[in-house]
Amino acid sequence: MSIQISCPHCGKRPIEEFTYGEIPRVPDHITDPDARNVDRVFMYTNPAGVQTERWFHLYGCRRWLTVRRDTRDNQMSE
Amino acid sequence: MPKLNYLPFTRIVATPAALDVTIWPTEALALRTAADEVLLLSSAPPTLVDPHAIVVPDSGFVGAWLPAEAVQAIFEQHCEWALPATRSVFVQGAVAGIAAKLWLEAERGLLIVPAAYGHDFAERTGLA
Amino acid sequence: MNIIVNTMPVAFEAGDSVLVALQRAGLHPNRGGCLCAAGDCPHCLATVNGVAYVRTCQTLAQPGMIVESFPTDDYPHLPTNTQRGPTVSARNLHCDVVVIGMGESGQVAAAAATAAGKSVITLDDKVGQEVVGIYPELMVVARTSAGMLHIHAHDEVVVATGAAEIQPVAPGNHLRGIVTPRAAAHLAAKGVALGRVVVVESGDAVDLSASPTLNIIAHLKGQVLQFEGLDTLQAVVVLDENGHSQRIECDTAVVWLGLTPRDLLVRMAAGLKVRAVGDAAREADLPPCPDAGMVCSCSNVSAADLQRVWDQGFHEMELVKRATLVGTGPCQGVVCVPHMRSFLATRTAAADSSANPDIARLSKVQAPFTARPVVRQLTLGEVAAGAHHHATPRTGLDAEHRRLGAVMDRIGGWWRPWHYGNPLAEYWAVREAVSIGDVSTLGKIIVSGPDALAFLERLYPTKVSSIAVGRSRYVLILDERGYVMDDGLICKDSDTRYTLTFTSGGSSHAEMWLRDWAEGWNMDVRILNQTMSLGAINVTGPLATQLLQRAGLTQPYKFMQHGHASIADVPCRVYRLSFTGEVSYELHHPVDQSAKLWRTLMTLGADLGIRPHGLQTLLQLRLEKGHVIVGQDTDFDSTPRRIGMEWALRMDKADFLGKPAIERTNKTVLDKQLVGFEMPAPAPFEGANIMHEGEYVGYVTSSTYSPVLGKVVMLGWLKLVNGTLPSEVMIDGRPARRVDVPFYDKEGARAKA
Repeated sequence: MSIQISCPHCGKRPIEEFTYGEIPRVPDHITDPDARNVDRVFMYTNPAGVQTERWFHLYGCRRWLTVRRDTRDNQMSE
Repeated sequence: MPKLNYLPFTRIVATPAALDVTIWPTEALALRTAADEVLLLSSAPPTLVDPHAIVVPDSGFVGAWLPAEAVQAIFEQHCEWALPATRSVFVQGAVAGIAAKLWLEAERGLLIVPAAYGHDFAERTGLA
Repeated sequence: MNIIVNTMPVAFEAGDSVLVALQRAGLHPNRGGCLCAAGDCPHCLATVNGVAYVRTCQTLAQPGMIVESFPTDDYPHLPTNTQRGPTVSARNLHCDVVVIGMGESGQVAAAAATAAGKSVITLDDKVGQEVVGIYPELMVVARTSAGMLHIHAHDEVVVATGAAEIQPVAPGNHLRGIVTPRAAAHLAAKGVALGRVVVVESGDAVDLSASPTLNIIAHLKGQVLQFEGLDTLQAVVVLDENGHSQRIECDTAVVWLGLTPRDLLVRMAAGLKVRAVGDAAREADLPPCPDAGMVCSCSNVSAADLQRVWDQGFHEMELVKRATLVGTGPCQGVVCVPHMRSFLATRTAAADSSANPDIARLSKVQAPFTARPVVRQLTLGEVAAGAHHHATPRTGLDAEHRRLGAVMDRIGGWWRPWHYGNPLAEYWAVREAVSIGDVSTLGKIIVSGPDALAFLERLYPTKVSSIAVGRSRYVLILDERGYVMDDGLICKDSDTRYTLTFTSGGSSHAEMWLRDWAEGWNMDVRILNQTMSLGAINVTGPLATQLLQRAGLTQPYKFMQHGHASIADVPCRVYRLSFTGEVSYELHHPVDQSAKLWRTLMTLGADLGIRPHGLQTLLQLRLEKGHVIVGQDTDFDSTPRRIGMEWALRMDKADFLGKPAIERTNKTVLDKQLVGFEMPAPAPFEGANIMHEGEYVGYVTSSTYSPVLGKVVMLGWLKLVNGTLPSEVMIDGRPARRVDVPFYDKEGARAKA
């Protein structure tokens, strides 16, 4: 109900204020330049663990922020 | 309760460094809405050191000055996050499910929402 | 003072719970079962003031309160009326520490936290603060008579809710007349006549000497084998500590089997800073293994049902719960969990572990299953308290549209006028005279900076460097998969500054998209989203230029030219373009002046036949011109080639977003295309199948009757058959013809006039 994300500009806010921006750009495990161009959206590692995510603070500063989220328990770190 | 009125802001987007060194008009409220953006309650913006800065008049926000207790009551009923203890302070986030901005002084606060949401915000908070 | 029970007045005394009032009158809230009088069990549920599933033992009786009891049912019936319940408010409170339960250990915890300088909020069900759940990061939700409390704790939540008495499981345990020791003492103190009382306890913990009014005819150590009676208890059969069974006639059985911690709130908060103290943290006593009787009256699960699922191979708490629904009802397992644990421990110990490796790995006594919010039945009003649905923005002309009698709807995320009562008149005003429409919802974003050109050149598939200052260009907006995401204009303000427009539906995404790529490519640009700050009015029709000259437009504007002008004394950004197919000017202006500008234009255009047009007419006009609406005519996989708009790409550019993907997809054979169709009236519905020689070949995405052409015009997806697009198709069972777009004014002479 109330998972919170720390916005570096606005502070801690409920997750409902943010829009999920998927993982940033091309995941590192894709190295082929052509594949990096095309496959960004399709090729996820989908880890059970910590991944880097982009969130947009729609209800506050309207800027992107990057967080590290553990997909197992939703623990967030910057 | 006072009504929400259009506010004569100037919207400024510039490099964070340029905003950091700008001297704002003393009477004007300069709300730092993002590292690279200021919402200035004045129609006479200062000169900026960033030649590429975007500086435009902006009437897209409505707001009302409220007694501090009224602000507190609205936040208690309509906001999951807490008001900071410091004064004067600027905060922004969802209030009554609408993106709101608040300049909070010791005795009063200026509550601001996009004009497009003014109707719903007033209806939800009783600021009609 | 009376409450009203099934239309009959029932007297109560100040401080009585509804349960006490019922019991004193010899009534029961429902069919029966052991009473705890402490809010733990489901056996006193009734409907109170129209709300079903109310714990009557926790509800203070009030004059005129309307209680519906269900003497022959286990549970209240859910209300069948559709009347909306009362709105419930929520209060958000913030503190360091929340203490739930103000018994001895709760008081100690609260005092310790206060002494450590923490701000503390305490909650106690004795004063009507009923906690219904604990949520991540760390919110305690409680119900009070004044509404819901959402309490946000920064440090921790202390659960000091004590322990519940374990209720008996034996044949007949659904009868009325069975109580726990605490309930017996409470009811006796309240003057409820319990008749002849037999006390049966597993140890020697029960001391009812403080309740001298109780007529205790027997006090035994042992185990109840059976409760006898029809609806109410008449006798108990007890196996005493010496192994003898005896039958004792009585009116009330007081049964003690030990305590189980009230730890639901802790068990739903794994990983959160939630700590149990006092009896809530104690070890649970284990009652005897249930052999017969009702284990979970909430879900109607008997001891025989547990045996059945054990035999089927369900040996773990979580699995037995799922197989039987035990513990999923109103009490959330408080009554049944001790017996389930005892049952599983006994069966596990008796099983031949060597033959059952899956049993061998089980704990001897399993932990209770995970709890989840909420632990109390809530009304929809209580659940919704403090929640807000998505707000729909309104343009600066919203009140103006409503004043003009517009039919308003939520379209593309905004309140917009669908029409003003006469869509056909609106249509002809655009085609033959002049009309104004509210296009404030268009996305409008400024990009400025040394890298503005480089940034846009990399984003857009058009050659941005060839746009001159003061000129605009229509652009497709692609994602990195080469699919069409949106469309709009690039308007060049200066060599380092551009204004971009986006569709109403796409504008909410556009800002995020621009900022994401600007950051990702490390571009030195400033971005300002003016979508909600600027109103926009489209002035369109053959007389549009004449109207604007009256309103103050001095210089002529060429097609796709833009500039600044004062129109009706409102500072406007003027864009000459066309979506309707007629001469059109978009006037972007400060949103607080929308109504002034609109009204002045309406007044100045009165003798020119001016009318406002709504979205219905706009969609019709653009379809005659074959203009695609991204999201309506396009799909998630629409490439520029598939929608027939490859002319909008400059594949000779070094790079742009989506270019590598388009190069790839261009190597595949074209499979389908968005094309135009026409046929006689009536217009097929949007989504209608397109057939060719009896085979499905596509579907209609946009369809309208064209008044000016006198026939139906459509856009739709068409599959290539044997490498070509069929020319003759069937839509709605009628012949239709594929034609080139635009349908109307193919040369575009009218828009450029």
